[in-house]
Amino acid sequence: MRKLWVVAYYTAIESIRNKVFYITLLFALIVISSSIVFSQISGEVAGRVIVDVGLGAIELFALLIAIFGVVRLIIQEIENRTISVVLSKPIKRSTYLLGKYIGMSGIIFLNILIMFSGLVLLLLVKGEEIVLNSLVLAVSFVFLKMLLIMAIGLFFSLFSTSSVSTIAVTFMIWVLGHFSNEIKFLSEGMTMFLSKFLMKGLYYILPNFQYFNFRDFLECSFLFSGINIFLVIVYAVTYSAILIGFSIFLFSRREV
Amino acid sequence: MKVGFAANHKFWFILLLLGILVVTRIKLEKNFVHPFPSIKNLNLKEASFLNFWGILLGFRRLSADLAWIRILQYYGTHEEEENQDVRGEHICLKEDGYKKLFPLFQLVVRLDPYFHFAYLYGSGILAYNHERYNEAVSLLEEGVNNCPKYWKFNFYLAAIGYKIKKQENKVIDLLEKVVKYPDCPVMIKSVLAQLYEKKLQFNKAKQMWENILRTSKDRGYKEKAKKHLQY
Repeated sequence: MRKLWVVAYYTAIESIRNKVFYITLLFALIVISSSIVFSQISGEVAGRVIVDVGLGAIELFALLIAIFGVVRLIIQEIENRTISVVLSKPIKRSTYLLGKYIGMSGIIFLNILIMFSGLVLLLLVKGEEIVLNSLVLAVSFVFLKMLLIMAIGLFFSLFSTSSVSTIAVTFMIWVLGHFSNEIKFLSEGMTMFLSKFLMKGLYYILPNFQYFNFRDFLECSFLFSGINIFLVIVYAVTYSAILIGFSIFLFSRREV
Repeated sequence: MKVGFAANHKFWFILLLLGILVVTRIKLEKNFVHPFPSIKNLNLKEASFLNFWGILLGFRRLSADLAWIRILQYYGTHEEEENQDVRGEHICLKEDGYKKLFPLFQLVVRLDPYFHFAYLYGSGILAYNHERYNEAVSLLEEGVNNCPKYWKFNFYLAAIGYKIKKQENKVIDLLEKVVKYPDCPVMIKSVLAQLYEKKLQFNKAKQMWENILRTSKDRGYKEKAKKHLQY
């Protein structure tokens, strides 16, 4: 257990020392601040626009850090041969992989927390109404989404030898995951059994990121019952755990 | 033997997780009602490439905000200021007579059917500034369908009904109720103030313009209120 936390700690430290982390964070805070410009031209719904631009920026920049970070976890470590140094020590591959994932999750959490604080500060400065419960729920769901997307990225990074292809596939799954309701709609309109079956299969296999899109449902939060929130959390955790389980299996058989 | 047991253990654990995932997904499928209509049913005439990407990447609200800003640019406050007479009445000078207003408001409320303010503001502009009652009613009816619990739409519908019948006193009665709510667009307050002026109820009109000056975030309407208070 201690080894797991050591790997997680050093993964987090390594990410924090990376300049890209600061640049991305700085850029995110600039984008969140730029929502003031949008609010100036949005008339009476300025508060809403600041929240939407802010939450959108939080998700996009967290996604960038998550995807690029998770690719760096394994592929770049293999390319740089640094992985051999760690694995030559008495440490299980599963511990190493899980530690890396936990460390990266910690960084994403920190990143989201800083950006969210920036957004709340901006709303306070502008004197806009803050519905903290909804905002916290929205960013928590963004974090859950990131946990899942990192597990997906990790899984594909173990198949692939190229960082670019892993990034592209993970990003595509992110897009398709948001498009899942359209996939369902398309499948219902299909008449050919095979294509309908394939579409339906795609709909059920792909993660449905719309479940996590609370930032889009702020004005219709009545749709979110306590049981739905619980189910979404279980969905994200089990989906991620299964993918990490498969990743550990793949990693244990991979030559490094 | 021990290794075999561990591997077996992991297999069953993954299988258990898969079972939980399937059950959760089925439960979510039943419980979770996706609140937005499908792209194919949106019938968006004025949608831009940005709106499409917004939907694709799961940014419906942000997409609706961008469409909202587009309306304000089209119907812009500054342009309105230039096109006002001494009393601040809006004069329609745009060559196309703001024909795109209705499809643009439709775009906003179809991207985000829960954008209550867009229904209120849009129907107000269409009915009171342009006397395009059918479009205003159509927009509000879409609101009633999408958000049946948001009862304020019915007030606006009734007020438009009285406006069509030219029963201005009844319009005033209804708008007086509407302006008490914090989410009432400043444009409706401005309509009420002007109705007071028309009915020579200058004290009430003054109070309403002062209210606009105090509470509005819209610079254009603040200027308009100042002009009316001077007049």
